[in-house]
Amino acid sequence: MSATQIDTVTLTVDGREITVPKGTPLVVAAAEHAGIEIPIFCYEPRLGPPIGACRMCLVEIEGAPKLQAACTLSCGDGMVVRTAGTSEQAKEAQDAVLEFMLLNHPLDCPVCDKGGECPLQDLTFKYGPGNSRMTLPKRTYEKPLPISPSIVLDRERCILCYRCTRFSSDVAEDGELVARERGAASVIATFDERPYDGVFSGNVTELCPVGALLPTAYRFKARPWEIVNVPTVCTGCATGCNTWSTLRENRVERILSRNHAAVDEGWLCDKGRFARYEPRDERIATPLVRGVAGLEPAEWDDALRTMGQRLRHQSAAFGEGAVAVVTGGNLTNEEAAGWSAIAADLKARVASAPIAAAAEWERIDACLAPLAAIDTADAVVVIGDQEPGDRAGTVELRIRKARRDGAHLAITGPGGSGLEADAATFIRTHPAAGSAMLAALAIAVAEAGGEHVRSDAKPAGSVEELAALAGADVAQVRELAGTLARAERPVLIVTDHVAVAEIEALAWVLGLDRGAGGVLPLPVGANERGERAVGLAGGWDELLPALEAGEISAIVFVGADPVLDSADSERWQMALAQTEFVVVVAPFTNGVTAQAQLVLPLDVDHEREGTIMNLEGRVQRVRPSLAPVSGVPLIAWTSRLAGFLDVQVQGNPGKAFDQLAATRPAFAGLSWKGLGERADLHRERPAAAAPVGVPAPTAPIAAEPGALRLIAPRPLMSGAAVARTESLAHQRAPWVMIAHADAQAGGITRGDEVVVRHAAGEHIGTARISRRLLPGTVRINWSGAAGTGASATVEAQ
Amino acid sequence: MPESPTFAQPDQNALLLPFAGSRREIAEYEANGGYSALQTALGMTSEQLVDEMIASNLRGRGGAGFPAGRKASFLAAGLDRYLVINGDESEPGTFKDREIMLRNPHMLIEGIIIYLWMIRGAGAYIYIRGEYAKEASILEGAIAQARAKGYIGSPLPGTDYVANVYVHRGAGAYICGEETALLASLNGERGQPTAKPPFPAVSGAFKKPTLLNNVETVATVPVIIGMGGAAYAGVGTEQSTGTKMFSLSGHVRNPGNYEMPLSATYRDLIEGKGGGMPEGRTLKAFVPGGSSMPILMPNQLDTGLAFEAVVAAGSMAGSGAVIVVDDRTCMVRFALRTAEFYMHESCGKCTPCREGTRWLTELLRKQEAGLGTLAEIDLLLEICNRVEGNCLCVLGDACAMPVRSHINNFRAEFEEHCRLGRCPCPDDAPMTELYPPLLKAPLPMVHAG
Repeated sequence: MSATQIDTVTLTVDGREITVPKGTPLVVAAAEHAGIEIPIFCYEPRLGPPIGACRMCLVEIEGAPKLQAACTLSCGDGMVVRTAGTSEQAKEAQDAVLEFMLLNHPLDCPVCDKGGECPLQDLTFKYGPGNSRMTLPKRTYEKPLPISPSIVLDRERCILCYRCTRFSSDVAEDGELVARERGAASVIATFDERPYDGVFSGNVTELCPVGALLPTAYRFKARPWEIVNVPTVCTGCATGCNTWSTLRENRVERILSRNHAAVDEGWLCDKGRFARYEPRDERIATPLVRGVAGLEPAEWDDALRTMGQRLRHQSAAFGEGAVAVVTGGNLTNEEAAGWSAIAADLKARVASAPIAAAAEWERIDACLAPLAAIDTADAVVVIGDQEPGDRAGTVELRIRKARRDGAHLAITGPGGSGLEADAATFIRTHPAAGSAMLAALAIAVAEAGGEHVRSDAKPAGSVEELAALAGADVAQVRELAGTLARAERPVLIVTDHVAVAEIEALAWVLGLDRGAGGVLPLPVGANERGERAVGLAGGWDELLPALEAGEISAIVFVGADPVLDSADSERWQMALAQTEFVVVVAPFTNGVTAQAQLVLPLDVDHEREGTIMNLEGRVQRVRPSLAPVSGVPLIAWTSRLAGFLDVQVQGNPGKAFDQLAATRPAFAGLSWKGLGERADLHRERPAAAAPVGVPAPTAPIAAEPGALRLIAPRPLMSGAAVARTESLAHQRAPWVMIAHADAQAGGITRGDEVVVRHAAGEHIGTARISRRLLPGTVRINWSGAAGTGASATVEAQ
Repeated sequence: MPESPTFAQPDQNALLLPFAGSRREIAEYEANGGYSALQTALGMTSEQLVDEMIASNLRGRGGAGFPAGRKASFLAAGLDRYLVINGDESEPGTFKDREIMLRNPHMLIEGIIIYLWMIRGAGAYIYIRGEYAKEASILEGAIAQARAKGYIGSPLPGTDYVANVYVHRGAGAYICGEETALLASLNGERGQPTAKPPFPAVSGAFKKPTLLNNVETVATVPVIIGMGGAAYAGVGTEQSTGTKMFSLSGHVRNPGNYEMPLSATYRDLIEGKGGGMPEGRTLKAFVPGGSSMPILMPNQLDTGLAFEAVVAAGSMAGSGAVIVVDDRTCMVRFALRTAEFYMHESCGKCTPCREGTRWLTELLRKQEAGLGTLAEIDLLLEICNRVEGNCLCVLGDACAMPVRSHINNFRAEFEEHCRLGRCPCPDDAPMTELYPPLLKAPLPMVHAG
């Protein structure tokens, strides 16, 4: 809607005349335009249409026979509203509702974790009765009741506002949390008392306006007046959700959303909320040098001086490319800039992206969509084997919202992802067939034609050929192409196994560089974009052949672990065994530390200060709440190391950022002080050029006869922090999804313990059966040991 | 449930059920003029049909008495429009729709088909309360017969319109008789009312424009089309036209369903049709329109049955359930029984109803046991005031209104309970004749679940 088309209405609230856009809920209009607070409990626009359940917002409307809920009432022209501030009747109703809410509420504020930051407490303080007329015994329930290992429920405190159940059914759409029983006996519950099984469950603890749903880890941990909330940004994935980290006595006790509407809409995933790099005493806290007895602690300066000398020596002795710096997309821009400068001086090879294709994603920057584009999209297409939520947690919630708001949601992939059930289109393909699918769509869109469609520079080949290559149904491809060709604001969301050339081709055909809609590739690392923007580009797997050939004699892993996190685990291990000098910078002992000559501590989330660039290119501040375990920030010792190498590296994050702003185009126009707490998106769209020479996609790998093809993308619930967080154990419990037909053939039923065997080993998980998953494939929720496309067998235990 | 005495006694003046026994076979129904109104309707346009409904001035028989013709005219345009028939008859004392479905199911089916034709609906759903198993199977049988005759499932004679009719059984919640809760339940959601707007006429069954009417309202349509709207409007009073089914129960000689012209009075119903009070008893009060309505006193017996007459007397005609209360009845216990029902049936969505009905019930329980205080009688009235008008739907009001009226009309009885410290009524006070006991168990939520 453009600004000129907004119809307005004029109404009076407590004698103040206001003019607001038509359709504004009265409760919002009163607060925002008349400055009059109408208290609420159940109203929360992020949960969908208002429900008018709590009745806290009752107001008098002239001409209406009874009081009206201001949340469900849209402003009307000429409406005369009297809130509790001026209407006796409304005041009486407000008192009544508060009295009813408090009737059975335990009023245990002194021992309630919500006390001091509780809407019920605040509104009672402001509007409530001073005493209670309830003389009968209050309702009691067993408490606390764990609804999952991460969340406890206190049903006595619950005021049944239904925010939590609405989140579950209408936002996360997981249907896990429901109201059970009726009337005054109603309780919030999970079905059959099973644990809340969903990766967004923690949001209900923030939506709860009383102390009923609380994070288990925060229970009885702190009072609101003895904590410090530090505004920062989650570094769990590339979404960059804005958070508060609640600090007490040098511990991060809790993570809350800091609601940056354009980024996260106030939601967090459970990884961002609950995962911790703990216990801290297991962390690598000092430099470790390999000696006769293994890794032994060393003095900082000794370790850094040795490292500098050896790197310089390798570079000097073996020339360009003898040294490699490998990152995992998780450094801050400033840390990465330091390593980039060191790598440049050493003429080192660099690699930052676990998946190769991501290294070239800058090529589609002309079409890069902001996250908010999903909200207004009229068509959303998800391409790749992996669920968007596994790559970028809360992006899934945005996609679901777009679908609810009427966008045509299309999913293409081998099936078995959570979004397919409600998608308007699901095109089943082979695993790792995203490139062929994109190319097929690009040609089909060009052939369909349309107002926004360009038909020059379409990829070679035919829709039929490419669809066959992808294993997709041609008619479905053409139908989706027609939908896309007609769409005004299509958004393509790309996960994995997609080559940039094909994305470029489809984006060009759809004219996504012209403004509306766009492409949103979802990287693996939280700051993969930022690392590339400061010069650390390239995919891990491009380094591997050189390493195996002995061309690289010194390699530094800074927050990267290809042994655990890549499909080529064994090759990396073998190649590293022959590499002369291996340095690992990591928070914990990991897959590569075993082969390291030197190990250095890596700072994690709440210990770092700097900036990161999220998947849409937004540069946001990460603020520290804790000192690094080692006591020396990564950026500081990087600067020290650079000193030993005679390279200039700024050791102060603020100054380092301002240097970046002056030298790197991606940061032009930004300043450390100007980023603010909720960063704007500063990104200039480069001009797009017609793609040339789109290579023909290669055929997906076929499984060995009698075997299933493995689909093993890295799940959201993975990584060092998740692995160490006990309360997330149920969320990372291994499962094995097989197609219904294969399950029947193999005599496997849902819930069976099954074993997956593949070249790299075997794993046990719980069987899930899917009717949408492509027969002949098996999807698992852990990665690393074997990549997508590998052959595997599944058998009941 | 025993069959109504009217099964045996034909009422010549009745329009809906003018015969004795039942007409469940389509042949029998057709032999008595059945499905001829449909033939007439097929010769009329939608507008003509709506006009005829408006001319009849038929008021909805579900309880609110909203003009049915006007309601039909509100239906939003759209390809997929649905008709939903509310057969979730659950208000204590109400069993009139059951009688229609038992005895004259084809009249309801014919009314549904005429309504569907009028709105060119994509289908009709009869939402019937779960306990009405027999009635549901009778309707299924009637639908099968109508289908075999070509009235359902194939194009209606001379048109390309196909009427589809389905029976959907509820799961036992009283609140699913409220239109938005009924639609939520029909849509597969938890049976709870939703805020309006959107109104069902815009977003109802399957989120499509939906017209929702009571069984009796729809069953009356063939009568109106058959005799003409104007002729129908000649029966009853000016504002309350036609005849209406009344369910007479409680302490009366001949309880049962009676079809009354709306120009009659409660005396005509209770003393005329019902034969008055049993030997040796006197009338203490009567509920004029279902347990949710304020009670009326013996001196109000000459109140008309018409909607406007009952309102003028300080109550509402509601669903037409008349409960007669004799002099032996403990009014505190009656109030408690009523409040208990609404507490049990509160859906739990909105605060005043959920908490208020429970608070009222617990205080009334104290009162009835003689443990209450005089101050608590005033508190009860205040709670009623704080519930009424503040809820999402009218269930809270349905609890508050009768409790208030019991206290206001029989305050002395409440005070006597407090003074004596016990219920002054004999132990065999005939409560079970008023309602079957629903809640024998202690309050369900007092202890940990």
